[in-house]
Amino acid sequence: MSGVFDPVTYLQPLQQPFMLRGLLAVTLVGIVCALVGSFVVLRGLAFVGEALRHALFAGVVIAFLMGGSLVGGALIFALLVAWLLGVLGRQQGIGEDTAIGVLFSASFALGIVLLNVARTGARDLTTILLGNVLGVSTLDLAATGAVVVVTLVAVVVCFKELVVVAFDPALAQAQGRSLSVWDGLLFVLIALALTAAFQTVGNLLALALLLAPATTARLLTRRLVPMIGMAMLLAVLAGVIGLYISYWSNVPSGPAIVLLSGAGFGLALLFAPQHGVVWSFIQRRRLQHSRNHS
Amino acid sequence: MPNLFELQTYLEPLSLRLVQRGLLAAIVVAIICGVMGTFVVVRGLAFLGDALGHAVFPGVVIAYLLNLNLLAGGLVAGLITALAISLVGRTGQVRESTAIGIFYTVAFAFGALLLSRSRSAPRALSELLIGNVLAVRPEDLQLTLLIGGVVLLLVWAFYKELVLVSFDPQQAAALGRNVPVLNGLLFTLLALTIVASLQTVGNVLVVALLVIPAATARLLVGPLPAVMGLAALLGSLCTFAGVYISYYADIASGGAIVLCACGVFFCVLIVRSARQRLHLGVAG
Amino acid sequence: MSSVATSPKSAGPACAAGQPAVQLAHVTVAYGARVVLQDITLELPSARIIGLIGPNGAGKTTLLRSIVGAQRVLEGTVRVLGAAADAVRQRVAYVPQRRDVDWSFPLSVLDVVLMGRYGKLGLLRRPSKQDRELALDALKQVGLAKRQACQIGELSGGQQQRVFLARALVQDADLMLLDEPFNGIDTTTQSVIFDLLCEQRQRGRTVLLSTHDLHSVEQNCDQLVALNRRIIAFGPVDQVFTAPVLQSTFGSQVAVVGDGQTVVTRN
Repeated sequence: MSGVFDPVTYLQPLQQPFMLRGLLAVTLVGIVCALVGSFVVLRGLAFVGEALRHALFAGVVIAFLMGGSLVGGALIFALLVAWLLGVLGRQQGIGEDTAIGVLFSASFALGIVLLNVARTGARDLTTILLGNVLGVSTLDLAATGAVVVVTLVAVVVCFKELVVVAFDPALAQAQGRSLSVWDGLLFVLIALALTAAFQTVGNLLALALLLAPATTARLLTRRLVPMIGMAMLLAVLAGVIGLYISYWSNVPSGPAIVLLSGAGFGLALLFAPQHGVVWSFIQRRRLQHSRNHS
Repeated sequence: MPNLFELQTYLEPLSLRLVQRGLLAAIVVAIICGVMGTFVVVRGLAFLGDALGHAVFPGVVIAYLLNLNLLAGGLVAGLITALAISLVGRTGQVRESTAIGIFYTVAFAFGALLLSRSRSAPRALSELLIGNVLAVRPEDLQLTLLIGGVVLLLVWAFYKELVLVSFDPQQAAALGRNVPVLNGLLFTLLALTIVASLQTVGNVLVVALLVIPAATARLLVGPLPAVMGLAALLGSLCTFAGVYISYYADIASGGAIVLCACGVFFCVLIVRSARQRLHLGVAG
Repeated sequence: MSSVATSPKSAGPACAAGQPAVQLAHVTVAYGARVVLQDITLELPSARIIGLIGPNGAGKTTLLRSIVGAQRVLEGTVRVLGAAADAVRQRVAYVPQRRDVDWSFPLSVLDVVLMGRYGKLGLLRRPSKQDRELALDALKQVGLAKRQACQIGELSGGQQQRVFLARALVQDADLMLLDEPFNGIDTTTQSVIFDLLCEQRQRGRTVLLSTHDLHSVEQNCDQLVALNRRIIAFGPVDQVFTAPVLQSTFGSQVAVVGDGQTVVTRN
């Protein structure tokens, strides 16, 4: 291996076509996850993401068994679960939290049992859960690209609606917007982002890519658009660096990418200006200090 | 296909030591899951339960690689994650649900990375993820019984404190109870339950055994002790059925148990809402 | 309380010109099997400041949400400004309760006020320069123009409420509905808000605000609606603000001491 400052170190892996495709994939996935993830974080929908991720798992297995398109199967099942979520959450005596818990564990169990019935090995389960970015085909890449375009267009077109519904649902309703329509759109976007991510970081770790970059960005800035931009940058950075690390040291790429995003979040939590733990601590000390003197 | 109406169908599996052990362990797990699951459902802790289920993973992997006790490793990892989540939640900068989502996925990624260094990775991973009732060894059964006993004993001893802190933390504080310590106790009990369940239902499905029987019981009865009892009973029945299905159809026991519990939940839900509609129709 | 005392609250319903601002006929609202509002029949005149009083759980928020068309009614009809609620959305401004909002949301003060214009903008359309000027103007009216670039969480509770008011003002609406605008804010802010509301009234606009601060409504409103699932009383302040009405509205929660001095004890 050549030196850290030698450009060859970074260019040489690019000669491998699978590495080039992988880099493109993590970039696209980072963009779409950070974009949708920003709204997930702002609305506190982490658990909904968790539920949709499990639903996608069942959908992928079903599609795999029926020989259909994995992405299509995943999406159809995720939409079904999103709809059930709405119906169940409204039932008295259940509560949204429990409804989500029941639905996602049910769909995951279904996926596991079907995978069993199909007699595919443990390796398939591991691939679905942890992803394999270096196995991304050109076709997968095209599908991911399409997801990115659709999501970007949807967010740009509906930006102000998504923001109003997130910030002040009561006002949104008073302005005549149906919350179920806009929540539905967001759920579809989450499902799309998770679908795009499952090939690269895997179904289980996709949630991390949805949450960690957006949360980190939120700690670092107080404006919405810069927050989204920074989340995208962080997600793409984690993806690219994680992929290189995975290439050089032969560790699985999905966990490497997720650990990097997690490390970024940890750093921001500690050292972010104004919001960070260290910053708050210093300010508190200063306040105590000045109070002791006066 | 076994004959459903013949006694032999039900007795045959029981003659195997393997099945006896597995069934006993699974039923102990179902009972403590029913009791702890009631707290999970009442307090809306489904996501935390799910996260702890995943977060025990790196601990189990480290214990596996170092040849230590797997369950002890899992317990330590689960408790560290729970502590980290509550600390981050307390800074007030990040929503608790977001913190849960980030911490457990990162913990899981860490575990997966460690495990990837080991040759037996995929098989060991899937065993932990989805469990296998028939792989319960005698010493595992002993440990499960021990954990089960400890959890039930602690719930019995601290029952009124746990209920108070779940229902009205402010009142608990006003009565001079240490709320963080009681919450810590609840989370520790939850982590213990999850660790005990690893072997039978696996760590991604344990949340199902926590949430589904308790949610079903809550639809049927009102008082908290009744919900706990019914949840434990329903969980045990589904476990029984699930183990038999898993034995005859040769599918993952965890998945079969959870799908049974789900079936019961949706039946109860449908019957209940049909009856409600009937009532409303009669009243209107 | 400053200039508010000079407001023409003596103006009776006789002066009310034109159609009523809100007409409710036999409106019933239920969540599942629980009836929240029962058989509400009410006609609110225009160009008035009307207070909506009642204990917690009386259905105040539900009533406001029904008027704004955000709550489906089980029975009865709702007419707003002489039309169905859906048809006149643009002419109604709604200020939800402050505590329902996540104030750490990464938006600036101006962004929040601009949301008031969103109702008039279609899909894809962005707020124009003119919208921004209107928003800034509304912020000036509530005295917060200097804080326009702040993140909303940096403001005090009273300032946040004024931002919400500015957001309602920028809608240029004929009917303003405010849900508990005085919750947890100081008396100075309260009088600033009432001054602005009086100005709206002079321009012929109608204001309906819910509160459980009985003292402020007695001083500043023209008319009162006493609500506890049903309409207990409706009319000019001096007719509604009486011991029997308050007692049957608030039940044991209210104690009437001496001459019109009212003490409300919650719970």
